[in-house]
Amino acid sequence: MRTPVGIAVSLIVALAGIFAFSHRDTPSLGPHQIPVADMNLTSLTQTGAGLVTAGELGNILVSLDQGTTWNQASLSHQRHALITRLHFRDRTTGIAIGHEGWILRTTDGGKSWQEVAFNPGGEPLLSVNQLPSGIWMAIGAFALTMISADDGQNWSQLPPPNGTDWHLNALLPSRDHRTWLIVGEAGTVLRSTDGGENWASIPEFYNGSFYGGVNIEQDAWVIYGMRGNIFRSEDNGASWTSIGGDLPASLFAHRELANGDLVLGGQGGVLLRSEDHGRSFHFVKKSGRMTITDIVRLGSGELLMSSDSGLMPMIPATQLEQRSGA
Amino acid sequence: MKIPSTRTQNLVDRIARVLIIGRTPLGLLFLLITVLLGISALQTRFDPGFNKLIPLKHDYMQAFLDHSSEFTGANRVMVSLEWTGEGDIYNAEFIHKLREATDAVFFTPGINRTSVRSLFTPEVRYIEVTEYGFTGGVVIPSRFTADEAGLAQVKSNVYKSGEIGNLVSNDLTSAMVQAELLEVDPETGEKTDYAAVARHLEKIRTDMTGDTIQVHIIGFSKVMGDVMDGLMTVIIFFAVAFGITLLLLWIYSRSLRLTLLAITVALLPVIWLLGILPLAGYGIDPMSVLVPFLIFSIGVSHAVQMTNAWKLEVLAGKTAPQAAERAFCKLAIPGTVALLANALGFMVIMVIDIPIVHELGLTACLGVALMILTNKMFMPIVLSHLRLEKMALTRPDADPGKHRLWWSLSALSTPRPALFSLAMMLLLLAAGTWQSRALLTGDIGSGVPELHEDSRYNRDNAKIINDYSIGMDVLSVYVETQRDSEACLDWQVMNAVDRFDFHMRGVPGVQSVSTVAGMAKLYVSGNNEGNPLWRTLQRSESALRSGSRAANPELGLNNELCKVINMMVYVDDHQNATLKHVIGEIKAFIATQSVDGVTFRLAGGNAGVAAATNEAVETAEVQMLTAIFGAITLLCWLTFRSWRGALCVITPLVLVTILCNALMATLGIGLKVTTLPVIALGVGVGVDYGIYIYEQMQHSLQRGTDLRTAFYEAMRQRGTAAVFTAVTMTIGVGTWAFSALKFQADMGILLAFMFMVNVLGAIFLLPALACWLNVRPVKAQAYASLSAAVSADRPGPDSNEPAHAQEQALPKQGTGKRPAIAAVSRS
Repeated sequence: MRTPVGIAVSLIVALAGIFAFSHRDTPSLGPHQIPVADMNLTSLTQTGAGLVTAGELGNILVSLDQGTTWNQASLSHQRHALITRLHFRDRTTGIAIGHEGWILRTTDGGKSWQEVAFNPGGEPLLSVNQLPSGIWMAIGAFALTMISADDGQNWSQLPPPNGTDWHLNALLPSRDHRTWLIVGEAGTVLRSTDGGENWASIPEFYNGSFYGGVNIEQDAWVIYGMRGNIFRSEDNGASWTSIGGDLPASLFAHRELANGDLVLGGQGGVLLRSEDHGRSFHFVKKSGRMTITDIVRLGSGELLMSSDSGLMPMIPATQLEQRSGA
Repeated sequence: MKIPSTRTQNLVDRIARVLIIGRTPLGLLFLLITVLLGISALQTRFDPGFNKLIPLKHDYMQAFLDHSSEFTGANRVMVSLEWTGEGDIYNAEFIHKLREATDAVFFTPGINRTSVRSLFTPEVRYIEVTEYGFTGGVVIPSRFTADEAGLAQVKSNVYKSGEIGNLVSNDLTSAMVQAELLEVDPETGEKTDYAAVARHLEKIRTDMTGDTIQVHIIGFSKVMGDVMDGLMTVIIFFAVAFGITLLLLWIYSRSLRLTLLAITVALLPVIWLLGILPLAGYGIDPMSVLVPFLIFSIGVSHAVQMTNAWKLEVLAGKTAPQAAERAFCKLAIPGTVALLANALGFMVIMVIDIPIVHELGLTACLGVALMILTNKMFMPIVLSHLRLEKMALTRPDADPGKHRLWWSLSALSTPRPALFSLAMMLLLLAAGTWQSRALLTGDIGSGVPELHEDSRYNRDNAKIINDYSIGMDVLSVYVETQRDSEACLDWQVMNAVDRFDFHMRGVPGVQSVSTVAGMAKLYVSGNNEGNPLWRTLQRSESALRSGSRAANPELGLNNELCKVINMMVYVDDHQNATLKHVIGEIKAFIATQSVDGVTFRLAGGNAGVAAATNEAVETAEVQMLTAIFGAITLLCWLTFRSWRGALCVITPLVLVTILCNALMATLGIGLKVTTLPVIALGVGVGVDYGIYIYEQMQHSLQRGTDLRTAFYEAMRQRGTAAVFTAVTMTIGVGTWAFSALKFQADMGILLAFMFMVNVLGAIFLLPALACWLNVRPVKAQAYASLSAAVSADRPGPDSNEPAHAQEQALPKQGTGKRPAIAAVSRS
């Protein structure tokens, strides 16, 4: 019998046709990722759990592998407000602050967070730290001041230090945590020499904004801010002299290197470096349109930086030295 | 197959009579129509119409059409000047040229003059945050002098303006002028003439190009200009196809008069069609330009059929008018039905729900309908006036070599060689099926799909994408809001947009996202000294107001009051895999959203259109193939009344269709609006050969001939004609392979493949299948009863009398064409 053969062949062709024209799947391009290289990250810090960064839409991210992969931390409430700062008292306990008076607290190095304050539509908090008395203090826009006396679990609002109503951008401790500075908008500098109990205004010496600063050693301080302005004080913050302003890029972050050198970062991905304990700074590099918001020194000696356009590629600290030498 | 009733035949006879009696006035009428339509054909214009290319009923396109008028930007022109000399663009010569180019673009016809942007235009500004607030100014000051200080100032301003990557290339060696084109030219009040725009832009290129300056131009209007230039070359292809067909016809008929007549009559429906299109308000678009080629090719084969029928009558001693009348009588019904069947095939492609394809189907159907008038009526009139040359009077087919070829070929209908043939077929099938799975839907490669990847335009495109940070492939998602006041001051709305923005930035295949929320956050941060700690949207309306300048409708991210928000997702490319993945992610995100009075709708932008088109094409592929194979199977069964016959014809056809897909995958031709109809056209026309040969075989079998002889007879009588037709049609469309337009080249290659390989399938596989499907001669009585119904005065089966052509022609209703060609090659 020949017919079955012919029918079989026809059938094979028909089946092949159905297979050939059946739905063709396109490959997946890969799973959804957290856009760590393209999001506003305002703060970056090393904790007992690993690296923690936070920012846009209330995202707090944790990396257990030195910044290679990132996972969402768990939050008791997600308010989608920008987180502005992370501060850890030790390897495990830390506070995250953000816009609309949002405060979160962690006790596991940043993997999980509990909301402890939120004021919808309220002003942003911009800086937080723990005073020597054990009281947590957070400051922010329009001199918003909040404190917690129970290790960050309950927060209450205080009148602004010294009655100011400017934006307060940073709360800076001295190395021994006795002297504290608050720097802010319109040249605002407030000083406390009693561990943050009482505050006094430093007479205005600059009319722009300060965003951060650091106590270099004993009475020597450096504060930095708008359009590349850097000021230095040798008398524990009582008087200041300008040592910057060559490059009109606002500066938002700093980090000390292993050898005591100081690196400042800011708009345009600009990095400045001081090799003389903050007496002078020189330009190292710029990266583009992003603004550097925080700098962390990894155990490997590399610098990892967060910016308003995401995490930046790591750079070896040695690279900065080479550039400066050239 | 239904045998035409005597009543129908009587009607045909009467029409034939009227035709011959009134041949002079009718002939003049036809000539008059041809002249008038010929004049009208000169009005035929190119009608690219963007909306014709999209599946209008697709959900995405409904959203797109609802909102695209508000968010244009698709019709942008970019003229990039590249400095190839020393250093960067900050030198006197380049800056001077850039100013000239800006002025030249400003005077482009149909340009929206307020939209012209370059470093020289006033709305391109730099902004600085200072201790005293914002300051800023134009990038190139009005009293600019191109000295060192002036250039340094410009360089610094450009940096602060944030235009690096946008108006100035990332490596600072190029700068561009951007402008939007309007649909209606404000000066003339008429639809913007893309050809004129393209010419103007080309002139800018010529004027600006120099030793140290290269010019790169891109934009939809430039594409259209280049496409139109490419279409002009179609005329050359037509001339080439015409010439080759002429030559082949002459070789085949050995009569100059018949050759000229056949080709002229084949041209008539083309002229008529081109004449009617402008009258009906249609234009020729880049796709329907295929139709004249097809109509011409089919017209040639039908004309050959008629001239041969006529010639046989003349050889039998009839006068020219008598012969014409008889030829008409014989071919009117089968020819007409064959053409109607072709038209049916063209109609099937209309399941593709895209206007340009509908128009292609419609135009092709119209062309075929016209062919019935010109070929079946006008042609006999001309033939009745014709005298045959002496040379053609001798029979050209007494070449024994050909018979030997067909005889050895007919061995394929005996079991062993047939088995070999089937084995080869399964081998091809396996390879073809495997390869066909690699077929991709949509555009393949980068750049605009209309043009070749190495075309000037696509090289310019690649250069600009490489040098600047400008995304070319954008997918728009629309958010429709129901709010009483400004929706962009509603945190719920803005937060939804913000989260979409954030989500999409984490999707592989997405380059960047541009939304009003992202922009507003930048403005808020900008209003707070550029501090990134403020780059966010707060719940209070007063805080949102600080970023509300981002909701300016002129930025194109939303309309008035943010009733509609246009979220733009820039994707890596517009290949189907990317689009599907990104759209899948968007849908997954939307599914998790439940904000009151906020509706997300997919999708606009060129990538949105491409995604919708791909989906429509994929849906249509299955529908179309089911429809065409269903229709053809039914047709075969009606013709043969035998499932064996249907299998013999359909099986090779399926194989060739699979191979066509495999060919597409191999050549990197995507399945899209332009190539999908080709498969249907190829199947529709390709089935003719099989039907044609099997139908003749069936006749012999019904006479009791054995299978091999029956196949030999079929090949001897119709094989040559089938090959001739395949070759003419392949050449007719094959010339397209050399088109400057990629999609035309693709269509040409695929059609040529389908036309040529289908005839091979009919010749090599059909007999093998017939053998192994046990197709056998039938008893003589069945044949006798059939033949009695066809014609009472029909001569004996082996007669060489011309009347035999009728017997061959009649059962061909609804199948193919050209039965009478075969009669000539009979010995």
